[in-house]
Amino acid sequence: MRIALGATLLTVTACGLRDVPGPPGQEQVVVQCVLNAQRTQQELWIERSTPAGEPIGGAARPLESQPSRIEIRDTAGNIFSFSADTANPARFVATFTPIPGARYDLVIDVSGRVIQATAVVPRAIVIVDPAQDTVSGVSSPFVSVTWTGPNRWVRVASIPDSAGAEFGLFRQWVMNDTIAQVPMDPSYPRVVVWVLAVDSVSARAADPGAFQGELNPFGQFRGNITGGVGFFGAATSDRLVVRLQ
Amino acid sequence: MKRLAAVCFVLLFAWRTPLAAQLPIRGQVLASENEQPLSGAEIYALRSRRGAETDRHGRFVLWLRVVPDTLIAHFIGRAPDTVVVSDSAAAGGSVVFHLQSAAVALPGVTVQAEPLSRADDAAQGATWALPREALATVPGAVESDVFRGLALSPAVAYSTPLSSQPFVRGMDAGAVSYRLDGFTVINPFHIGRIFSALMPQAVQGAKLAAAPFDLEYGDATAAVIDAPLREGGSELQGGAQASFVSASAWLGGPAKSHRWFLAWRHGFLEHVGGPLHEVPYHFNDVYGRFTLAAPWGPVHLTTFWSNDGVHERESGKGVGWSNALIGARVPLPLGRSGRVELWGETSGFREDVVALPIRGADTDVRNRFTTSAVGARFQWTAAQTAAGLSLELRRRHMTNDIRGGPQSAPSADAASTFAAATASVERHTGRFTARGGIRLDASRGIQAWQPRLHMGVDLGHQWSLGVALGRTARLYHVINEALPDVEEILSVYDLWRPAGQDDTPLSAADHANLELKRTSASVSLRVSAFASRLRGVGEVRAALIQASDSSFFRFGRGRVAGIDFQIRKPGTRSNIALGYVLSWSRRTWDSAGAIEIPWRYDRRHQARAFYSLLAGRGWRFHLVGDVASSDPITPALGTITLGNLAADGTLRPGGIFRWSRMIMGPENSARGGWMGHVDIGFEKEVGGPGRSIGQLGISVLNVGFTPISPGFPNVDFDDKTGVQRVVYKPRIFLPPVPTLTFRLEF
Repeated sequence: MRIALGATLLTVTACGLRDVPGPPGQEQVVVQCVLNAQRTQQELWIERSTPAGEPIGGAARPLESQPSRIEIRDTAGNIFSFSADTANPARFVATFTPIPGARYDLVIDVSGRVIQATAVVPRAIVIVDPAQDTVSGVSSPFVSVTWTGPNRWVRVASIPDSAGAEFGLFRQWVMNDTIAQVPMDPSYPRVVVWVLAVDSVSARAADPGAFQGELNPFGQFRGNITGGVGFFGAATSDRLVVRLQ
Repeated sequence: MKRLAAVCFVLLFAWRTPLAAQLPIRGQVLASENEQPLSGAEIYALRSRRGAETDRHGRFVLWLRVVPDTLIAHFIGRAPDTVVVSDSAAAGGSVVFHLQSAAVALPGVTVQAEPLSRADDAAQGATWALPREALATVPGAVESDVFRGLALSPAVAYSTPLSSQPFVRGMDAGAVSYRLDGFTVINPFHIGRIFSALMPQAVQGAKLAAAPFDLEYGDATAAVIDAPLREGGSELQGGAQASFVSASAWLGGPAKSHRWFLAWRHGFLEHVGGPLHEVPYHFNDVYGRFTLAAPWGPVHLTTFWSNDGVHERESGKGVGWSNALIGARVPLPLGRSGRVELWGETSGFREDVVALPIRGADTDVRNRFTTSAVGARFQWTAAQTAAGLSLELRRRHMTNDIRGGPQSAPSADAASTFAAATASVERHTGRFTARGGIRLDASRGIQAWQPRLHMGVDLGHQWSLGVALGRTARLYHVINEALPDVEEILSVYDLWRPAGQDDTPLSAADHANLELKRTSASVSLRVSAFASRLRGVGEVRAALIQASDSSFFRFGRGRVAGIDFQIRKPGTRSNIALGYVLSWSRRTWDSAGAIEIPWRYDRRHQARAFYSLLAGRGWRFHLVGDVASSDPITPALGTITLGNLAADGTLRPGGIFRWSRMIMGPENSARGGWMGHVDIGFEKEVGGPGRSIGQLGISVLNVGFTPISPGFPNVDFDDKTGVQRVVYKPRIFLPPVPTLTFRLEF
């Protein structure tokens, strides 16, 4: 009996801590799109996922065969078709302007598979203070921005004309805030402040560093696409141009 | 179910009782060393061929068919005692047994059937009564622990060896309720639930009653764990113990005709310097048990207080929680063969979280749970039939006040008055015992009828068969807050949700249990088949899904089925017990049409081995081995690189430096490798019976560095190739955890 127990103990000990072989992955069609109510041209990205177990590379993985249909339909029956961007095989564009508050259905036929998703554009978000689109002669280190709009995920960011980077104001998306103190840097004389409202899938998909870092520490993603993976979201925004003294 | 219960009731009552001369005899079974009542002892009349079991006060009533007769009393871990009942003794109507401790009390003492009352024992069904000595043989993690000792029952499992919170037979940990002397204790755990607030030295033992448990128990759907506190004996006795993290002392004895017992455990890490100085952790457990000799009989008082705190010295950020309980019981005789027990309790739990980062935001939490109740239990015992009735009136107030970010758990505040009533009838014949009854838990707007039936048959040749059917319910949910980064491991608090409010369903479960036992001096065997149908189960929605607009909780249905097997081979020097469980536990969430998926701890196989050796000269060795198949995991299908949302809402393609995100397959549809641990313990004891005892104990948890959790997918660099890809690794690495204890007892 003691020998058996000892052998069991040794066997278990010898196994140690090792990587566990996981189930094989599957290549998926990845769709990414955020309808933008401020733009007349909408973009949609389609590529392939990297199956679990295969090395993750930086190169894009466009589809091997183009989709036979990419359409977005609104509730009035209008159909907006996307066409391929000749310069980028993963990019598709359509010309229309989504309406805040409206619902849009996405349908993609690719390799005999039908991919579907639905997005509802957040209601319009409006900067009410300052009331003008442009404020000039600002000397304060902060500009107070107040907005009204949907009870959705909101982010405020500023883009200096003379810098390539954006400056996000909040550490994460907010839902109940309606006012922000936007810091001004004298080295950037003209800054565009954006107040952006998005639906939840866009919030959790498109800003992982800020939104998902603590809520999804293991880097998992689940979107709202049926028949594939990815997400189909929507955004509305308003902007304020600030000119410093 | 109601119809079945009604039929059983009629059958039981209609059973013809012989009109032969019958003589009731009252009695009590006590521990010889301190005259502490022994609950659950079995008494059997050899000539009358009838048996009885003691209640929590050690009392029994037995009807003798012939006098004189010889009564024999059995209790696990103790030598049997006999008393001859003569005509005169019978006229007085009371006998007392004094049972001495057996030479060894070892693990595996989980099969309780005694040769003369197998039918009664079989009718218990899915119940494990574990004395303190057996619980203490399971090596602890940081502290020796009553709840960790419940691993001696194959019905119990834990999320990891780091947790002492048990879950029972494929049901959530929140479906288990905890009792101290039968009184409600709420969330009796210390930090991270690594160990409980019940130390073995303060209790007589622990009873695990898996569903469908006795009608006495409510407020749980999976199991009830009831630990009777130690009582003061006829002599002053006490002891002290110290470990790496705590010091404890206990003392009990007589005071005139009263008895008292007090114990205190203090976690002293807050007084220690080093890295813990800035974030000190402290805890205290205080236990008090008093038996007051009143003119009408004893009055039993149970008191318990526990507190924990871990706060950053500078900022005050942290968490603190406390427990308090006061309970009283008055057992009284009722006529020739009746018993009544009046009881009352008030129990509370409070917890305050100050500015802890939870779900992406600094969060303040104020949790309160208070419950107070009064009740009465009546029991009448006839020659072969017993009947019981109980009433309970309870007030309950629960508050989860959570102030954090938009992803925080929703707050709740609910108070209600609640009533419970039970009626039961019990029938014993030579080879057959049946006990049936019904329990009603009712609050305003919601009721739960819970019929339960237990039957036991002595099959002869040392075999017995037990059948138990019944429903259990609870009028509120206890749901572990599963944090996204640590899941339920080290979870900070529970969430309480009353049924019938805010779309929260009643939590109820229907159970069936079939148990075959063979008990002999050389080997004990127990095989159980169990199945449960669960309704209104709830949990915190998995973090990944939770980040959407869906509700914080999800509720649904579940199915559990399985077989557990236990064999014990006792010996004078060594003792071995082996357990194995094959089970399935599945859930259907949100809607009836949803796909059924495995429960998060749906381990298909779990095997345990316990081995104890008395090596002589006071040396003892204990070994626990636990191996289980993996918990279900959600597999990764692959990875994608998500775009970046620009300030104006434009989606820009993810570049080479963007973070790869995993796309997940169906929830809980894969397995992540086996899990297990081996724990060892050594004890050196000096002194012994009749003298003071000194003991040095060393135990090591997970001595084999084995994985204690399944491998989860993660995007990481492959150790072999250096290339980034999806790899599966356990999230928790548990190095061997040593525990050292010094104990003195007099």
